[in-house]
Amino acid sequence: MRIAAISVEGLDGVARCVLELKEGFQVVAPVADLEAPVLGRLVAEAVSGCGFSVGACGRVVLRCVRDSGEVFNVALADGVPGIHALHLADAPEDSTGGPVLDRLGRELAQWIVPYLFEQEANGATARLAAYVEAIGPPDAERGPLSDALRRLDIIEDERRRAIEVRGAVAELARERRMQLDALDAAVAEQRRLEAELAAARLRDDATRLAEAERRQDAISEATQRCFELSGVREFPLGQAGKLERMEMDIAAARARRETLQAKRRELGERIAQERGAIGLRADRPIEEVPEEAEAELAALQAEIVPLREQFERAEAARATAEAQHGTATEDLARLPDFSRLAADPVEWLTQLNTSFRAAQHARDVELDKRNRLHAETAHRRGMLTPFETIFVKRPNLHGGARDHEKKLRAVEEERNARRESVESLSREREDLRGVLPSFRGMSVVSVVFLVILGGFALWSRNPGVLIPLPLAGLCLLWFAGNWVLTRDSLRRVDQDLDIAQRGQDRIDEEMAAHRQAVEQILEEAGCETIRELEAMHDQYRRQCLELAALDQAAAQQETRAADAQGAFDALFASHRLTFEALGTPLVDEDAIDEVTGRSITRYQEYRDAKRRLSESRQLLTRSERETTALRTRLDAALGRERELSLDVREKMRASGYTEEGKHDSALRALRSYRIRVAKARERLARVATLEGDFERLTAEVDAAEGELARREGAMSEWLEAMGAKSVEGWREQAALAQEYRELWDKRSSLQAELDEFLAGEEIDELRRRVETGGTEVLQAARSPASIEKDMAAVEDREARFQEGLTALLSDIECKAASVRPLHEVEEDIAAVEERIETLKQEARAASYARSQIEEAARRRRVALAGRLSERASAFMSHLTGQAARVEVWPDWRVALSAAQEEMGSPRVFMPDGAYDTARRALSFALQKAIEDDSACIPLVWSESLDALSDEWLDQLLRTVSEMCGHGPVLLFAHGNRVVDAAARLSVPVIRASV
Amino acid sequence: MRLIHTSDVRLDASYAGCGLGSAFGRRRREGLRAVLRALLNRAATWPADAVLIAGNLFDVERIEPATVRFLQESFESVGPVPIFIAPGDRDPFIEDSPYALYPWPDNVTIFREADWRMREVEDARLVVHGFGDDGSVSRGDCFARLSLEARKGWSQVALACLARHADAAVPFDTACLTSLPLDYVALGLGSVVQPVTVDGGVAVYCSGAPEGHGFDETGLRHYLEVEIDAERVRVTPAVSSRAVFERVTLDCAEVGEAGRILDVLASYVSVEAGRCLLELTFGGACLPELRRDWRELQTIVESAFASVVLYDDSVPADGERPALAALVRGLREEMRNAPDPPREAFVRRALQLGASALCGAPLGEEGTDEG
Repeated sequence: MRIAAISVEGLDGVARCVLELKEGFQVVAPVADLEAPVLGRLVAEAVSGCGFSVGACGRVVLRCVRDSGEVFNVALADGVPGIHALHLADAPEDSTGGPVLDRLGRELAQWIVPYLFEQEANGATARLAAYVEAIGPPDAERGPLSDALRRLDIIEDERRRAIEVRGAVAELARERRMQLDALDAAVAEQRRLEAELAAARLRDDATRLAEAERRQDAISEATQRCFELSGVREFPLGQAGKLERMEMDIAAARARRETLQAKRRELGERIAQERGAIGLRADRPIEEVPEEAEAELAALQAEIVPLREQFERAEAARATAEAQHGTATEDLARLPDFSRLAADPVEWLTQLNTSFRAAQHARDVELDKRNRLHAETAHRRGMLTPFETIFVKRPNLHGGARDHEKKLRAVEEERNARRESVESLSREREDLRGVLPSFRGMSVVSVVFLVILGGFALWSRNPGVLIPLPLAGLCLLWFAGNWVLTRDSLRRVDQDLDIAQRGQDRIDEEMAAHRQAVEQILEEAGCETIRELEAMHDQYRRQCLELAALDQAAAQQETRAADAQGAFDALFASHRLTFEALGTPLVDEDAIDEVTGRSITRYQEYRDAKRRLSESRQLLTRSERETTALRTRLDAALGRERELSLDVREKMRASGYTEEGKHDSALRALRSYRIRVAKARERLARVATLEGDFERLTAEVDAAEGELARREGAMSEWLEAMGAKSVEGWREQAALAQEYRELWDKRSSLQAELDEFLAGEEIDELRRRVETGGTEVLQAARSPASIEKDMAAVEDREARFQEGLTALLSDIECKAASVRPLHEVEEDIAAVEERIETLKQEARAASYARSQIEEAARRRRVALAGRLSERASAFMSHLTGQAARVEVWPDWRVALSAAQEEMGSPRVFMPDGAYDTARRALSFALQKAIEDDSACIPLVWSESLDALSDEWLDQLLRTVSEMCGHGPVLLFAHGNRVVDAAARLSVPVIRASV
Repeated sequence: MRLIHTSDVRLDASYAGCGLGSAFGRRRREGLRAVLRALLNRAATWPADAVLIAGNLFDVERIEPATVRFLQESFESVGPVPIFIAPGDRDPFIEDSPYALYPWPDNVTIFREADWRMREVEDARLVVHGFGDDGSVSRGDCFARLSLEARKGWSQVALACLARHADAAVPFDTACLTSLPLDYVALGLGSVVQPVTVDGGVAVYCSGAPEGHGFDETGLRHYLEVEIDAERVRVTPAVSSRAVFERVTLDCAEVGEAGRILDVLASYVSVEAGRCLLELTFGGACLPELRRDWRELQTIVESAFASVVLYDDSVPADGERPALAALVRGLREEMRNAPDPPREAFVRRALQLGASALCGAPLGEEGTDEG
């Protein structure tokens, strides 16, 4: 505790006091003259000046008797937070102390609640309860948990669908695998047929090679023979005729001349025949076509053929690409332009589907709610029908019943009052009637006595007799006056009684009429009592209110349902437009999944068409570029070939080779022309030879004619010069020379035939091909045409397989795209399950936390009550000399009990009563009990202790001083007696200067 | 000789264990594809003589046709670089496997039998011995069945995916490899790069996964670049992670206030926050002030990191409120005496909720808090 000086300026300077506070129990004196506002200010300053963290403590114990309300108000207004009063005074006591103890308990409860943190606990448990309610039960219509459970059901269905689709996709993939295997088999078959075709072609090549080799052998044989005869290659065969002419001239001049002439004719015919067989214009020299032209033509031909094939292939590829491009363009034109719809159309479509489903679900929920509300409203209305016949025409039945009750009560009270009045009046009338004859008799007696007395006085003439006469007159006046007054009172009482009885009768009549009306209602309602009727009416009104609330809720729900329906219709219309634009019209709302799936399929078709369009465009561009390049090269080659062909053909035609027109190819024509020229040259040579022979024969004939004799000698010389020993020898050589020439011609002819047979191909190349072909030549049994037919069939099969594979791939992709991937579904399931588990755990944990907080609050309450009970009993024992104790229950009931069990009720041990003692004990105990759990709580104590004797005052102050410890207790003394007692007990006293 | 060795790519893997929903899983699967694409690009540009995939290329239970098409196109795109695949336990060569159902490019070799098969790469003078998983046998003793002869001038590697055993770091007898004339053994075994020590000098490596698959595979991930020459084998781990799983536990006292959370996390996270998938667990004693700012803290962390999973294992501090102190005392005691971790977690959560309710902090996620 911090020692503080307190200076109080009270109430605009009306009062001023200064306190110097010390530790522990101390008395502030004298303050008896302080007004309540000043005391309140002092309390506020004392509390705040003590340095206690009042905000943390929450409360200050203030036990104040005098003007406590004003004191506290001032203290509160002066900024002491949470100051709280403990009024423990002025309670009436009964013999059992019940009201006092009850009030003590209530005040204790009010005071101690802040230390129980029950308010805080209640707030926290309310929040936790709201939290649990917000999570909601699993079967609630709305709420995170039930939403998550519903979502889980939906995703579980989706997973089942995904697994089914996965199985279907696997089945399609297996089918595709089988088709792929079949395609592989077809490709293998194709390769086998290609090999067979190659073998068949090789076999044909082998046949051709054999034939070519046979011809080559013949040529080689002829060449060999020519080589053998090469010694006579230059033998002058033309000398044979001369020899023969000389021989003939010699043998038989004229016969031989005739023979020579015949020979010459024969030779002439042969020459003519040979000239005719040349086939060329003999009158012109043969035009030579340069070898370079042929080589160039051959080169051009060799270039043109593959170029043309390449060009045709490129043209075919271009046509195919054009067809694919057209197909893709048509497909694309048939499909909507998804690229303008969304960046990711699948996601967009999925979002469309999800938003549609959400709106549909929201609408269904709202409609379902509306229908249920309507059904509930109808049900409630039906339940109200029996009541309406009773209560509708009596709208204020409850008030009427209440009035009836009040009236009954009032009438009863009036009747009672009137009955009491009647009884009182009756009693009064009876009393009056009872005393009236006495007054009347006594009046008569008084008159008789007065008359007798007057008569006796007159008779006796004794004036002394008249002495009692005034007394008798007074008696007469008294009794007569009372008789008159009593008679008037009786008359008035009779009138009042009559009035009271009439009033009572009138009340009874009114009551009977009122009861009749009420009983009619009771009969209609089938009730026995008004309470039942009121209960029924209350039930009716409650149900009416509930029905009105339900009607209102139904109207609001109708609006919400209409809004939801409107929103859904708008969304549906929007989706219909959207899906119609996509070419997948949305006919009804249940078809959204199917339409979304079809839209996704269309999007995939669109994407496929786009890809194919792009690919075919690239292919087309590439094919056109390639075709153009090939065309350019082909045109150049063809142009050159045409130019060269024209030149060559011109020359051939100039040489009289008319068959050149039969050849499409200038090269073939040229080769044929060369063969023809070779043959023609051979014939021309032959003709020339024959002409030489002819001329020689002529010369021989001439010589034979002129110089027959001279030749015989010359023949011998000539033969000798020729190296021939005889004419036979010369003829053998001439025969050999002739054979040589014939063989040479034959060889040339065979060579040309071989070239023609090989069609420009080299025999070595053919041989190499056959040799590299290996043994397959022997295995090929079928013709190439048959094999090519089989190959075409296999190609058709391959094409069909390819189409099937494409369709299967499309099916696989469509099916796979119709549901979300399994892992995504599983991930969502895991997330939702975790959320469900979390929400359940949250609900359980929140409930558990709630119960724990409640339990902590309860334990705190029990502990505090226990401590309070213990300490209050300690104080009580101290103050009462171990004679009584105080018990405080957890529900803040307070009980006083004697220390000895047999004592039925507590004895009064203190001059001002056991209950005041208990109050003080509780005040001190309260401070100590709360201190155990928090910082020091100051006790500000303002109580007049004048009623206590000095002994008891000392005992009280001693007890407080001993038991308060360091706890700050300020006793505001009311008079110097307490100050003196404090001084005796060495309790610090603070002098407040006022 | 250059090789790229990876395993456990697990395309189309499910991230259900992370509990973050399908959007997270979709991003991660795209990430796996990107990682494989980058790895194959590296193989094409380095260039590698072969790519070795030691199992678990995909999850056979969940693979989609689109992923198969992605694999076909990716493998075909690297062209002549041969790709060798040894199926593992997640992608066994079974009847319904995409390995069996779909055609694969010519440069792809799949070891379909649960026995050693040999393939040669003539140009690179490389022999690959592969052991596949057909879903029927244990592969633990596969190296005991491997016998081969030395080939002069050729490099020989073995490729297999092994199942990890709980009681052994290396689930096979390494002595089987000592006498084999192998240059390199490429294994699929676990998710981290791990060399296996073998007597005799043969280099045996597990490549680990090139991308993490959950919060139990934290940190950077790698594939292996292997260079074999006449004298030695050099193995270089190359970072392949695009997103990195990180698991961080923070004491609330270290955080202090919500605004400091990113500064505190910066010292715990090894990569930039934008590619970090963070599992953040708060422990220690949580002051009521931090509890009140819990949602702000969540917002800050979630906006900074690619993905965040937040666990709150903290215990509320006593504070000055007697109600809170009483609750904390009681439930802490119960936590200490909890018979099992689930019960302890339950009591902790109850304590957190009670403390939040008492000090006015938000209770649960936004929307469920008090309706």
